This record gives sequence, C-alpha cells and structure tokens, in this order.
Amino acid sequence: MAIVTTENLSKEYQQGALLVPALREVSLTIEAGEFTALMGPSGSGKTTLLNIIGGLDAPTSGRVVVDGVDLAKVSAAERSRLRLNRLGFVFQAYNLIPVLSAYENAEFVLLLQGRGEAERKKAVLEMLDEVGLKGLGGRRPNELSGGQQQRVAVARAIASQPALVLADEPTANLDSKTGRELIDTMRQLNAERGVTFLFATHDHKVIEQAHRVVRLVDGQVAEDIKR
Amino acid sequence: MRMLLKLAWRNIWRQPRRTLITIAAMAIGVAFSMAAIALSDGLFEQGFDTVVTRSLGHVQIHAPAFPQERALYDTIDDADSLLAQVAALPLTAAAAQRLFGYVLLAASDQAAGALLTGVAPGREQALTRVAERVLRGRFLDPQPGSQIVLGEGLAETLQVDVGGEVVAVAQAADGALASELLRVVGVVRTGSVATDRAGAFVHLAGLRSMLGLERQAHEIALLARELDQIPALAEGCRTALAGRGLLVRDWRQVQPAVAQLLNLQSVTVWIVLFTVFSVAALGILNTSLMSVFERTQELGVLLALGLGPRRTVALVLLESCCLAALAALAGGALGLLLDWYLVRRGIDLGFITQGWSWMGALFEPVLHGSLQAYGALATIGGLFAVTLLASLWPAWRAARLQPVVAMRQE
Ligand SMILES: Nc1ncnc2c1ncn2[C@@H]1O[C@H](COP(=O)(O)OP(=O)(O)O)[C@@H](O)[C@H]1O
Ligand SMILES: [Mg+2]
Repeated sequence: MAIVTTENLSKEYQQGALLVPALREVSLTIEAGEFTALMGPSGSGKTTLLNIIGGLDAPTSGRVVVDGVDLAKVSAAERSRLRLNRLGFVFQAYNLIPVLSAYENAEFVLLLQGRGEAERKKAVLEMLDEVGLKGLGGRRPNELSGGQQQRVAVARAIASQPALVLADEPTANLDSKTGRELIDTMRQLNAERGVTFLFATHDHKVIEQAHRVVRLVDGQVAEDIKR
Repeated sequence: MRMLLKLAWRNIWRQPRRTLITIAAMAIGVAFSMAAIALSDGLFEQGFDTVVTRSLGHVQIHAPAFPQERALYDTIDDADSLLAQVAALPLTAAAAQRLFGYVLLAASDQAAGALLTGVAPGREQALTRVAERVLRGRFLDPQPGSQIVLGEGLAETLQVDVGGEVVAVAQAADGALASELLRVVGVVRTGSVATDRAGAFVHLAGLRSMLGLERQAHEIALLARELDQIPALAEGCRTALAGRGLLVRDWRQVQPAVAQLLNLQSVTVWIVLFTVFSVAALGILNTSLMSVFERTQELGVLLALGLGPRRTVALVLLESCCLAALAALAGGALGLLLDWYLVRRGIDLGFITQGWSWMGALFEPVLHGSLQAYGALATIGGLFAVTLLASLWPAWRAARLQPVVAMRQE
C-alpha cells in the first residue's frame, strides 16, 4: 500500500530576481513498511521534498498524496491535523521543547491528539524503552546528550503510531557512531513494529542499513535502489 | 489545555528576570490603581458627606419662587406641621426648617448688613455641621433666647466677639421695623464664603417674631437614611405635600454644579486607570513579543507537529495570563495593604493646610480612602482584559508562523 505518492513534483524558490529550482519533476512512491534513505549532497532538495510530503511547504507544481489525502486539496487546518494524527517528525535540531522532560516531550503529540492518560503512559514508557532511554524520562533535554535528545524525538514521532515518520537529517548534529546507532534503532523499530521511515542523510555508510535509497541530485531523482 | 497551561507556566520561567520585572511592574500598577480608586472613592464620600449630606441636605423643600427670588414672602406656611409630617416619613433620617432674613446688625462702633438664618439648634445639628464649625464660644443653646452666632468675617467687620452684643434691625413682613438686642455666643467658620463674611445664626423663634412670620419657614431640609433612597424620599415628600404648591428637590436639582463636579471625580479615576493600564499593556506586549521571537524555531516545531493555530494562540495568551495572575496576586495584596492604610490612617495634609473649603463647605485636612470590593475587582479584571488585548497580536504572529520558515531561522 502506498503511503506517499508524488507525481512530477517541482519546487522553485524565488531568490531575489533568480528562480532557484529545488525539486524537478520528482515522482516517488513510498510503500508502507519501507525504510527509505533520502541521500544527496547539500542543496540537492532533500529538506524541500520532506517538507512538501509533510505538508509544511507547497510544491510549485505536481501532486502529493499522503495517506490517501491530496495535500493541495485540503485546508491548512486539515494538513495540520494530518501531521498530528498520521505523521511523525524528527528534525535536525531543536526538536524538543526545552521546558518539558523527555517523558513529557514524548507524550506531547499524544496529548494534542487527546489520548487518555493510561494509553499515553503505556505508549510513552514503551517507546522510551524502545529507543533505549528507559529510566531517563524525567530528564530535561539539556540534561541529555545529543544522541539521547534525538532518541526522544524518535520516541515522540512513533508513540502516536503514525503511518509515516519523516526525519530530516536526524544524525546531522551527532558524531558518526552515535548517528549510526540512532539509525540502527530506527531500523529496528521499522523491522519490529513496521514503522515506515523516510529519512534524509548524507552519511554514505547508512546505505548498508536502508533497504531503499533514493538519491537526489540537483532536485532530481538520480538513483532509486531497492534491496 | 492542562498541558498548555503547564507549558505556559514553565515558559514564563525561562526568563525569570524578565518575568519578575514584568510582574513587578504590573503588580505596582494594580496596587497603585487600587489605591487610586480607594482614595478617589474616599474623596467622593468625604466630598458628598461634607458638601451634600452635611450642608445642603439630601432633599430641600421651598416655596416655588424662593430659590430664584429668595424673597422674604416666599415662605412655606404652616411650616411646623409640615416639618412634623415629612420628619415622620419612614425614609427620613433628619429634618430641619430654616427661616432667612436680611437685617442690619449694629455693634458699638460698626454696622453691617447680614443674612440671619433662624434655626432650631437641635434639629439643625442633626443635619448640618454648623455647630461643629464654631471657632470661638459655642453654638446656640437648645432653648430659644436672644443669642447670635456670627460668621467669622462678620464678627471682624462688626468688631465684636463672644460676649459682645449686637442690635439687629429688620423690616418685618408687614413693613414695620423691628429690632432686637442679641448676645454673641459664638463665631463660626463654615467654609461658605457668603455665610462666613455676612451670615449669622439665631434661634428660629426669635427671628420669626422679629420678621412677623410666626408660623413660616423658607426652607425645610431632609436627610435620607440611605443614599440610594434619596429619590424615593423626594418622591415621598412630594406625595405627602401634594396640593400645597411647594417645590421639592433633591440635592442634584438644588446644586447641579456639585453633582457634575462629583461625577468628574470618577472621570479622574478612569484617566488614572487608563494611564496605568496603557503602561502595563506596553510591558506585556514587549514581553510577549520578545518571548515569541526568541522561540521562533521552537514554535515552528510545535506547529509542524500539529499544534494548531488556535492552540498556539492559546499558549501565548496563557503565558501572558500566568504573568497577569501572579501580578494580580502580588498587586492585589499590596493594593489591599495600601487601601487599608488609606482607610485607617489616610493622608494627613495637616502640614500643608488646616483644611480647605470647596463648594461652600469645609473639608478636613486628612484624606481618607474608602475600600470597596469593586475597586480590586475592576483593577484585576482590567489587568486581565489589558493582558489579553496586548498579547493578541504576539499570539496571532505566533500562530501565523510558517513552520518551514520558522525552523530555518538561526
Ligand atoms: N526558502 C528558500 N529560499 C530560497 N531557496 C531555498 C529555500 N529553501 C531551499 N532553497 C534552495 O533549494 C535548494 C534545495 O535546498 P534543500 O531542500 O534545503 O536541500 P538539502 O536539504 O538537500 O540540503 C537549495 O539550492 C537551496 O538553496
Ligand atoms: Mg536539508
């Protein structure tokens, strides 16, 4: 089942008098259960593509369907609701709310969804456990290492059981070993729980863990390898 | 909602110094406003009591032409029985009648025209403060006699003082000249320029026989038991005196200027409140805007996660409301303390003045506050209203942030 379908997706940014093409005619389908790495040099359009799929940005032309919803055809409020209920996000940095503990951060989306107390508690403890943060739920973000913070973000992204987790260079601010461990954890969640991941990275060694690698060059899909 | 409140509460403590300064400023504003309201209410009460209750009376009864003409003949006839009638009304707290007469007062060396007010001392004291305004000597004795209490300036003009004697010469209602020898028992300063310069008080009975108006009075003044019963008392008098052709007016009709000035008092308060709250609003606006700008990326993440615009607005408003709540607590406590001081001690202007007169009445040199629940409620209600108003724009800005743009910002 396709969770994301993009058809001839193009995006141009106005930079002064210049039109900068960020994406050109990207057509891509992400199936449920996939663990897809989006690779490519800096400026190749990875963030732009993830933002458009996440309904945070609109394409200049082309179509995006996420979880059966054509993003261009719904209101901003509905896109916001889609993000809340069907998508998980892990960003490069500033993921966590500094005044909330790891536990509260992971619980945040569930609270916004209006889930009951018992359900929240069960999901959050389970997810913190899954990402290897058992017993650290009471810590504030500034009391956690960079790798641990990103793990909290992953726990938050999956706690609500989204159809798709979008992660934009979640390892960019981590050393390569910590980064790889984070990807390992994500891969494990994918294998054990069937969480669908689409994540951007420019770490080539990640290729070994991903079972699909989409390579962007200058906003175009240069390569799409499935294993 | 509880989560948003928790988030808001913790957010305000991310910048403890800024938060405390903002709260302190708002709290001082609240306390100051409460004190201003209490003082203004106190002044109003003092002013009302001094100018209206204890000098004009709440309701006055005259012959229709008297207020305009002040002629000797414009009298209330059969005044004693009318007085008894209105004094017996259930809403009446006090009632007194007065007779006025222009006379020539002659002392040993000097003579001067004077306006005599004939009063029944007991009844008059239940109504006005004239007996408390005696500078030297005493007020008229309860029993009628040939006594006179002179206005301060008049005593000076006549060069007599307590213990001296004056002769009053008057033209009676029938045109005959009448005269009487009166003993000066006291000198008063009422605060009314006219009375102090050329007025004097004598016994009602004495003036009546001098003027040949044995059963008449020019004025009946009444006090109501409660201030909000004044219109009802006036109505009661009109009903009781129906068919007598008399003019019954409450104090607003007697002295419209006083009513206007007393109303102006509350305008002053509103100006003070407006100023204080404008300053508070700027403080809140500044704090709220700064905290939104500082957290652009964080708000971007929240919006990206699916915190809708409405909840984003709520978050920013809640943060400001947390500040307002703390300011209300601190400011309310401080305000009550100030109010309590103003009520109990008051502001003693004794070092500047011994009292002043306004609208023909003499004021005490100590200003007292009056504590009423609405003062605190209005102030704190105003604080929250201003807070919400001032943080609406920052909240709107936060909700309008584009997550992509917000998160990209360094
Ligand atoms: N807001 C923007 N305004 C102008 N140009 C932009 C904007 N965002 C991205 N771009 C441009 O679009 C291209 C793709 O950027 P991006 O999607 O961030 O690439 P990546 O995430 O792969 O580094 C780059 O050339 C970048 O400069
Ligand atoms: Mg990028």
